[in-house]
Amino acid sequence: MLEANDLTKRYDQHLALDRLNLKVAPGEIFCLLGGNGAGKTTTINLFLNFIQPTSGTATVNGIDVAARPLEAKRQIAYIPETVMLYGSLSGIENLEYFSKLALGVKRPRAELLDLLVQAGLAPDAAPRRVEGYSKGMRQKVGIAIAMARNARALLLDEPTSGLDPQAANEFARLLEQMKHRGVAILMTTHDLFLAKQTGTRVGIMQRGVLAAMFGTDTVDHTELERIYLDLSYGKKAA
Amino acid sequence: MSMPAPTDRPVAVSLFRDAFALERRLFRAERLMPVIVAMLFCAIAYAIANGVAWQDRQNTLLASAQLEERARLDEQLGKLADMQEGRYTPPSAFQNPRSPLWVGLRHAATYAALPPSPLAVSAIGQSDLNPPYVLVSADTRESFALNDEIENPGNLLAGRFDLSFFIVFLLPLVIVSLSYNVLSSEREQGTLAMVASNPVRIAVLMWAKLGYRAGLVLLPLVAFTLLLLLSMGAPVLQADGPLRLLVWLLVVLAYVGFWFAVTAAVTSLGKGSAQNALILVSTWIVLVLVVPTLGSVAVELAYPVPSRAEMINTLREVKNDSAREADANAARYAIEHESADNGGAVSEKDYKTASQRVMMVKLASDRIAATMAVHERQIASQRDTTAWLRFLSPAVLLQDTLNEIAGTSDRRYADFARQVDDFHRSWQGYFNDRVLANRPLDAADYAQFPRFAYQPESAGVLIGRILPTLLGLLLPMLVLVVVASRGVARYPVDAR
Repeated sequence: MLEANDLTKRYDQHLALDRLNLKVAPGEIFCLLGGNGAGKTTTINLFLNFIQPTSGTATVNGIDVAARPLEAKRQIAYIPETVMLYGSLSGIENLEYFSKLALGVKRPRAELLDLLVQAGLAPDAAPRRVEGYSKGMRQKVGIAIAMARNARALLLDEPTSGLDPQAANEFARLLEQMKHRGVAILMTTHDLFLAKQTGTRVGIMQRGVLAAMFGTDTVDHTELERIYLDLSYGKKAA
Repeated sequence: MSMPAPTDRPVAVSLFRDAFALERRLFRAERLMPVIVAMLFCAIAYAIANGVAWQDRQNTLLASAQLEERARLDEQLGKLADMQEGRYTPPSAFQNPRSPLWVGLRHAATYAALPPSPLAVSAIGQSDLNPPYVLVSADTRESFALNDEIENPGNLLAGRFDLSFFIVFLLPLVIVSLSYNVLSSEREQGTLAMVASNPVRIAVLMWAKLGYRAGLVLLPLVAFTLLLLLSMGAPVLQADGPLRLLVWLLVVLAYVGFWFAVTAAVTSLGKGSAQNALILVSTWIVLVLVVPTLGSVAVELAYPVPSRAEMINTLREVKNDSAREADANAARYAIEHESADNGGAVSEKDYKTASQRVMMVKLASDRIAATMAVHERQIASQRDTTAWLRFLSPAVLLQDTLNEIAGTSDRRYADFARQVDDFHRSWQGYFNDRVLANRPLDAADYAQFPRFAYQPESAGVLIGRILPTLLGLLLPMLVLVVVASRGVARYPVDAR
């Protein structure tokens, strides 16, 4: 579903991403780990066509994102580290707007409210202005927006950063549900526990290079932590 | 729950409508609309009230001038009737109502008036430099062609706050302040990334946002202008008023479109909100203030007009020389101080001095014409050059056109001056022929004095003159729209 082939991004002298090769299948959660500046967000931005690749391709369901961005974006949903919404609108109004942008049709308020509740937002919060929401509440609206799009692929850029443990757990549960619906999920995160708990596979990035890639069932949490620390801050993994 | 699949209908149309509706919702949520509408209402009301007050003043001046002329004529007709019935003997030729010389020169001198156009209150234009009437007599041309400055120089320098001033100078700032951050604020707040992750074109999003703001500016502007013009008694529906109003609407629309296109082009550069504001305000300063000033300086340098004071002195000298040559000083003394000796009709002696005076005026007129021609040729050259240079500044272009529509343009005053010149010649001919033929005036002659009636330009001429302005605004606008649409396709969308 999501595929990167020799995907490279260079900013002048800085190589942000170096020949990334990656495939995320439907019903799979692929977690990209790595320190700051490792190239995780660059990868997400390339799949979203927010930036153009220097070389290589990013495809969604076989569609080259750079060549046919609108078609590719119809297949994907995106949740950033901090879901930024229109503060003067309510949660349900934001959901209504973004789902209409994605689908081109206006969905009934009852359906939208149901999506917000599924995403974990209290029903009485839905009609309130978003400017009074906590970060966790905003993330839940972001999840509802992603769910409303009925996308075949989901791009998550450190989505649980700053969430309390309960909210992070709820989030992990929702990811599991989407995975079971056959959605291909690419998630960048610093949260090793979340990666081990929800991920099918993990990749560890270091200075723009995918330095390691393995199934989460092949390592335990301690081993994952050791590999991550070695690659990010110590010697390179074998 | 069943999830609808993405539709295949044209994304651009749907996005435009959705983004437009979102803007409306955001403006309503922020309660910005009433503030903007109230601000526009106050500015337009103040501007139109100023225009109406100015026009009232002009009308009052004209009415009092016409009253004064009527009183003068009635006095002469009264004297004429008294003369016929033997109740009045003029003490001098100057006071003789049958004297074609003094009636043509003084007593029946007539006001040639430029009637206001139906939209005169919308732009004071050149009317603060040119009075709405001139006093035409059988004297030399400079006696009416060189108006005294009638306006406070401070007001002339600063201009007046009329509707055209608001539209030309201030409306672009309203547009800039509403639109400088249409995309940049979304990027800075992070919502643009959320929006751009959808199958949307950023260009459509930008145009929808700008389109909403354009509506927010234009609808109140047009509605308030019409409403206030009508409610304040401007004769906009009289004569060719509706046509002028339509043309006014078109050029204002083009000007507003131009400034939104500038905003779009700057937005498409992908800079931050603060930088956008800086670039746009600088653009406003250059197009509205700097270019017109430089253009004016360039025209002054290329076609310097001789000093007005020097020219007036020269004309006086020319006139005095001519008078001396015609020995008219003595004639004037005789006319003004010696009594008529044939029962009030023009005496032989009066006839001789009057003929000398006519010859002096003719001689002086020929000499004055040469001096004034130099002055007027330079002004005409300045006007011609400005007609081209105005295309460098949409502000000058629009101001010029709004003056044209309001009937307060330099060109209309030049046309008025030409018609007054023709009228002056026929006035001189009427009286001078009678002076030289020694034919005293009677009541029937009074009824046949030439009358001035301004012949307005046809609507076709007006439209033909305004068409280049429309093109001058629309062409750069279209170029900017293309540049902006292409540039914004590469708009930087940060993921966080």
